[in-house]
Amino acid sequence: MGFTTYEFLVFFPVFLALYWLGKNRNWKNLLLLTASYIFYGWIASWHVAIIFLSTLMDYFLALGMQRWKPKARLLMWIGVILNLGLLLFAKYYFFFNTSLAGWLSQTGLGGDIFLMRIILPLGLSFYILKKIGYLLDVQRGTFKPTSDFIAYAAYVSFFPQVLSGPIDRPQKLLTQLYEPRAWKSENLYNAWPLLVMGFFKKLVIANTVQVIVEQIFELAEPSKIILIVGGLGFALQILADFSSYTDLSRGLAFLLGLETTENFNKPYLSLTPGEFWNRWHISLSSWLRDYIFFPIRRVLLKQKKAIPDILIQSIPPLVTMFVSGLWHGVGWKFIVWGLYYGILIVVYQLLGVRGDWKPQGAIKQFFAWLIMFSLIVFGWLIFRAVSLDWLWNVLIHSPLYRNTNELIASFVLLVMIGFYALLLIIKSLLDRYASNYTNLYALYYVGITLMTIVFINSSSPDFIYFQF
Amino acid sequence: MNKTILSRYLWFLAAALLFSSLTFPKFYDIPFPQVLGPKFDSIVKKGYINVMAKSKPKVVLVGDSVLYFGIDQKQLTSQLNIETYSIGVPGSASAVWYLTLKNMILDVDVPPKYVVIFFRDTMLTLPSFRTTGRYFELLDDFSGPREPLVTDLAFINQMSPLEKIAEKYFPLYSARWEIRNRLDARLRYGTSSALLDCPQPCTDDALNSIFGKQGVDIVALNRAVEDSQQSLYTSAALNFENKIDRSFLPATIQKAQENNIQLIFVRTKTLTYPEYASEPLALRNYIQSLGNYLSQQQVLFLDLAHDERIKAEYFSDTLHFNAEGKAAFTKIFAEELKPLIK
Repeated sequence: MGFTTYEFLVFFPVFLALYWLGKNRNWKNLLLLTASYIFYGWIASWHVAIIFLSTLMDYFLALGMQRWKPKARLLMWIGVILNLGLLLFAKYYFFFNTSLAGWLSQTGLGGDIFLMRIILPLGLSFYILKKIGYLLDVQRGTFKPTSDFIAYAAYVSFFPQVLSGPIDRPQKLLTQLYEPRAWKSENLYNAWPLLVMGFFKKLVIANTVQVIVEQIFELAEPSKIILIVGGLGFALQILADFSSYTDLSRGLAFLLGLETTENFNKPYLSLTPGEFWNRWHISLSSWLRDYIFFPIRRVLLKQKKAIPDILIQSIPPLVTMFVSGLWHGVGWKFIVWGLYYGILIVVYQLLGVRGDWKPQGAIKQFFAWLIMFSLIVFGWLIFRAVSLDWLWNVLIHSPLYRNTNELIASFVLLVMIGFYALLLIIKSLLDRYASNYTNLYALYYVGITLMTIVFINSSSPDFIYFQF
Repeated sequence: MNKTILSRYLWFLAAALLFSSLTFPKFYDIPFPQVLGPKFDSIVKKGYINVMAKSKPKVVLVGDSVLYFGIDQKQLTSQLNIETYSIGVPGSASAVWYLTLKNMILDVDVPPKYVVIFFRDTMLTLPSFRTTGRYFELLDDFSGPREPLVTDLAFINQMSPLEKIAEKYFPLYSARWEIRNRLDARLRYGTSSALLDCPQPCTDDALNSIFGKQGVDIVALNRAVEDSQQSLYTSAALNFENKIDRSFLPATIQKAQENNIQLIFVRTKTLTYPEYASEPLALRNYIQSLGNYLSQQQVLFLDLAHDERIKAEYFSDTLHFNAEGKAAFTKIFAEELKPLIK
């Protein structure tokens, strides 16, 4: 079930009414867990079995860590390996092994064979990191294991986050589930702008720009100018799409009286790769930083005398971004994409440019931004390319443009992408320069609401395969 | 802050919605309350009817691009030694096929004795498959001014109660296609015409020259084709019993039988599930139920989905035949069809 489906539109108000009718927190958590399992199992009910069993495992392992302190490390590793095993199995075996998928479908377990392949790894990638983070925190002693299974299971499967994050830490979300919640009007005041923006970004911007982007990346040998337009389009599409889910997730959480992590903070305004990762998918970046980057760095610093400084500086970002690439998808292009960012961070560091670097003067800042933005768009080309061979071939062999038609087409597509980007830029400008002008904000939100109504159910299937 | 903005937002929104409700029906020429379902124009494409009226084929083939790229009409006519006619319409599906039978094949003075419909997997029981967006233009070519069955099955039955209310009483929502088309046209043609002196035909030419099929990467094309077929394999689509009464299949069969036309359904092979073993159980059960239903209705059914004579090298992508495949498939199909027609 997605946030923008009719089923969810019916499901959520009913759930919300029941949720606030209950006075006690146990009722709320139980209802939240039930709703989350219904939401997660909507496409294939056996997904629920996987999340339930793996949650049960962490729950007992964490309690075991508290009870048998000398064995805590061992239990933590068992949990981490089993969680990672499940994730790797889903991503690297199940995802590609059509015979297994075929077997599951033949046993009647998966009628929606296409969706089964897509949805399961997507959800897994997010909630497995939550679970691993919990086990690591319990082992480190930075979080006390919970004896409240319902609260823990509701935290892991929390339906606003289960498919696309944010990856909230137990310290942030689970602790809120321990507390009683009473309805406050602030819940609504915090939620509504996020919900309006979320629906707008998804239904108007992401879904529309996706059509253009797909057409470009389906070309056998686009010219470089078309490729650049595709990269810019994808940069907009992925930001609008991903951040829309975060907005909707946060908005829904607010309506439940819960505050979750902000996941995006104007990432395309970054001046350095380090800053980009502090602004893009923040919950993932901070997870990787705390559980991969810092531990590796600590180990290397302990061996400071034996290891050259350049390696101490380079290995943590390279390994962290390599893991980030693996997490994002299956295949070489994601590994290369991850390493690309690892190398960028190392190069910037070697040039003496730290993550929070900000040059003096508007012109220098503009060029720093332009360079970083170009590097981000190039990164998205690696991420979105059909394959690395395809991208290499276009970069090496394709001309800048072949004829005037390509210039006209690029211009037209750029105007279309620019129009939808402008709608987001206006919001950023309002936030920056007109935060006290409530009427302007209200008018902006009315404008995007009207556009959302117009764009619901009216996306033109303008794909190339219309011909078939 | 958000509290103040919210109250103003709600006021402004109410004003905007009221304004659109008062002005849009007149501006976009839509009735209030809106009549549910699409607006068809009154013209039925006559090209196919004229050819059939002239050539009086005994066998008419109906299908989508798989038929278009898969059957060589001349070769088939020569192999069967009877006049055949192929209406392979890329982008068509069961709604267009029903309309082809009703408004075209039955419109000729001497209708054919056999109508063969080529389909894939669950297409026959998905009435709304390929009916909206640009597919609607195609549907409109085959429809008369009023098509109550198509309106019900392909449109109204697919709408949620909320959508029906919005469509009927909410002019901003009813006019959404029109508004989007105008916005899209402004963006697509407005600036290129003003700044590049390249009006609509010039812009369309430029876009088509780049995004036509010839420029598409075969891997990406296969993926796009497969993605476009996803809705054929959902749990809901694979539930034959649930779908049959709300599909065009009963009406198609009834129309054919009332006019003494023998219907033959041909399930074509694709590279999605080329072997029987690779086919999901749910799809197998669906095809079994479809076969039983067609047999009860005395309709002939040729299942070529796992025919070993149709090799992988005959395909240009997941669904479509290449030139070699076209010749081979026509031959195989003719051999299968010959014993069925008298």
